[in-house]
Amino acid sequence: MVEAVSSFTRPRLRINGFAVLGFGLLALLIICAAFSPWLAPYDPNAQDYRAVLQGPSAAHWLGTDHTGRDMLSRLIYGSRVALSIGFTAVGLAVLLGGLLGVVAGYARGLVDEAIMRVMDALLSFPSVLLALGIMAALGPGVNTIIIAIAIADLPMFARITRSQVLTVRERDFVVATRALGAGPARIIFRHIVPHITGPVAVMATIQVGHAILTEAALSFLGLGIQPPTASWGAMMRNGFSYMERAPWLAAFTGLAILLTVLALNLAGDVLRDWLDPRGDSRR
Amino acid sequence: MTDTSEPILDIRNLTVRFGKVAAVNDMSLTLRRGETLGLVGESGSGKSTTSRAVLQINRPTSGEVWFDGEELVSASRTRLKALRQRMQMVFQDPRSSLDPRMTVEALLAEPLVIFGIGNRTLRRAKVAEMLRLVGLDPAVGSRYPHEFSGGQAQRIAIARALILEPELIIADEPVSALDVSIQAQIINLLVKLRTQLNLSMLFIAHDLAVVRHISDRVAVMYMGRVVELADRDRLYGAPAHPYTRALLSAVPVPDPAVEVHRKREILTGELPSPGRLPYGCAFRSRCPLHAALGRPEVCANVLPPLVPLAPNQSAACHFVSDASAAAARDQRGGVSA
Repeated sequence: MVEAVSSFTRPRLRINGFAVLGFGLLALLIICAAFSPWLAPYDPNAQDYRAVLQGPSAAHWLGTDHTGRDMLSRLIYGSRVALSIGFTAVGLAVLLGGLLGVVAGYARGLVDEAIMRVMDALLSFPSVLLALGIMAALGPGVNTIIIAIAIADLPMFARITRSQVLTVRERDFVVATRALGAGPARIIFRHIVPHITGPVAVMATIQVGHAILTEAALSFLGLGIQPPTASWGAMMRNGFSYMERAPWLAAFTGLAILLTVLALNLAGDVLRDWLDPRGDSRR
Repeated sequence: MTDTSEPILDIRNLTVRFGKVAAVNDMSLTLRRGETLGLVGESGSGKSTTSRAVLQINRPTSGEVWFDGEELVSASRTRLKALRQRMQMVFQDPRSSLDPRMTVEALLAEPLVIFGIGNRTLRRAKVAEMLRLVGLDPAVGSRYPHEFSGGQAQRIAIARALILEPELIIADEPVSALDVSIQAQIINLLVKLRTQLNLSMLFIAHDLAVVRHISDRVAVMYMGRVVELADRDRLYGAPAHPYTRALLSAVPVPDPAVEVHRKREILTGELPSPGRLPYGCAFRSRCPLHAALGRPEVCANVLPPLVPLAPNQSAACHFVSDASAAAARDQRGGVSA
């Protein structure tokens, strides 16, 4: 009468080159950011007028800028700024946007309309332009840049969360739980949220890369992180001024930004493969 | 033991519309206490919508649903929640009705948690007891739904529906998603539990063969209405409505000698659009009797009511008896409807 219970198998994670590259680079970045004081060979803000605009050498692996600051040290410290702004801004956007999306998708009707029309309005601006406007209004600084990026990213997370909630709330197990008499809080947090974290996490990972780019763009335009703080965007702007005399300044900074965004995009892609919706039932 | 006069479930003039589409149309049905009523119809006939409207998962457009003397459509949220404890549902596909990210133990304990019943230890014991009741080893509690076969998963879903000790079970095609070899096991399990726990059951299926074994009475639905309602033996022995007869003729007979000579009524014609139901009898576009009688006008003009033919059988057709056939001849003779 009792049928044989199928043997328990865990899905095997597919480890490939992109996964190693993506997560490897990401790990490296996080280590750089976490241990900057120990890793950086020099004080990032120490000026040395005897060694201005030097090319890569044994003393300064990646050269020095126009005030003689060590580029490697500045890039290492810059990763702190980039990652903390990227992750905080996106974290805020996920939390707020996710909350709005869950409320809109679960309540539907007028609440949904009201929330989503505001999100559409925000979405109708190019995100850099929106962030630029917010920065111009609030003034430069780390906190305002985080707020600006979070607001610019908010509608996207609200949208993706809402669409996920709309799908999951109609699935049989949610209907079954409602029939059981469960309230909205239990249904949302126990049965809907666990099923939508995958796509949101993938989106967030890729979006951290974009946030870092936005921060760089804003700082490049002089609206973001103010000197002397080592920010990649500000360093890029500086390198831009010395493009002909010291091309490595812009090149190394650009490379750092490129690798960071690449790492986050690869990690996002790999995460998406791992969390593939068809892997959900794992059969 | 049970009071047969007091119905546990009384559906009165239930209508459920989705936009312009009337999935359930002015339907009435009564489930007696301790009875199992089979509700049969093809896909789109409104069976599932009925079951969901009864449990107030989808709110009915109009009509009343009485559960043990209390009206559900107008019941307050808190009252409804309290009543939900006494009526539970088993869904078609256990793989989609059980949250894939919860363990069996968490799934089974959830109803108890929702209603604040027992503490952790008591719930654990109750879960083990329910698993044993449906024929599973209590040790499976730490596993996830995808680790089970369809039949086992449906046993888990049944255990989950029964853990609150409900009086009414609505089983919405509980075996349709299962292998044929497993279907009988699940039906037998439901038969056993029904008797053991004194359950009343609304058993929905799209196939008359499936409900035969389990049902005391059978209701046949077509386009959102009940077209025939009869005691099980009566319905299978002497089906009255032409639609019931067509459905029954589609059931194969497990005897090759009989099967070879069996006559099948193949329904032709289009299923009418549920958004624009025809006036009169909804079945007439496919009705073999309608065609045989020369397309009487009454079918197009008058909606046939569900009328009693015998003490335990009623059908909604103008021509189920000779008397009504004669009436139709008179009408064709000139008397307009």
